[in-house]
Amino acid sequence: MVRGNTGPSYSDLDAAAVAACDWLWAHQSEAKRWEYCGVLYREEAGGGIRVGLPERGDRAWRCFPRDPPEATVFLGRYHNHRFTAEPSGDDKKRAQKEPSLGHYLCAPSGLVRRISAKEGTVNVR
Amino acid sequence: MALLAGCAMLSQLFPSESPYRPDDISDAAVRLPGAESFIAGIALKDLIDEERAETAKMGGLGPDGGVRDPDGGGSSEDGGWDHVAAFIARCFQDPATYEVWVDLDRAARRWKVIVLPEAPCTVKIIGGGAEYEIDADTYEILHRERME
Repeated sequence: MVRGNTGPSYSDLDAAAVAACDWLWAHQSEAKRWEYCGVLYREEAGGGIRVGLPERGDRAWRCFPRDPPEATVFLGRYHNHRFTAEPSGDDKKRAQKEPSLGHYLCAPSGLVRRISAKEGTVNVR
Repeated sequence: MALLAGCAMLSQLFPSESPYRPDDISDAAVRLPGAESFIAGIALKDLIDEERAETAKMGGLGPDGGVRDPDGGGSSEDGGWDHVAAFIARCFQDPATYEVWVDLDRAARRWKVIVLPEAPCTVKIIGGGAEYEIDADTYEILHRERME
């Protein structure tokens, strides 16, 4: 289970993803050369969206986010890339297989991108 | 009527392919095209060799060369070899975890190969696939890039 969250809550999933990426780049200096990932979840009905603390990947190119806390609603995942702002084939495949979740990429340029099979890749910042 | 007769004649000239199936194989046997299989194998072996090398660096291989059982010495984030680390290593060192797409360019000089994690053990894991370019004459790997 995820180790905690970044503190604030957000009313919008895109806003939560932008905050997640900001937190990641501000607090994980290694993220320029290592992949991190985390989850976005709602704590209670009508409550705000929380950003789970990012996990460090087991490899520089791969990451295993822990599950959100019990009794919360799992809404999406975020992860960073070290070099590119383009979603990988793996990212696109995951978005296609799990269309009900939000899939966000924290690009090293500062872009935050939402990946979905329906819309393609959309910059949310 | 004449059209039907014409079609029948054409089908005799060009019979539909019915590949020979060896007798001594089970119903589960799969027919694979040779060139594509060979290219897929080069990429997949390269990727799994890299996975094994990384696991070895983390102290995750046992004396028999297989992924060793977890110990109690901290989490994988702390450099320990825990259940999560062992689970991921076993998953990504298994060829059955992946699907492979191969595509020869129009000039028949280079193969593009995309290896994607597909097995249930990868469902929650981000990244792990790879893209390759392989020379169609020498079978040398010209480019490799791990997906993030």
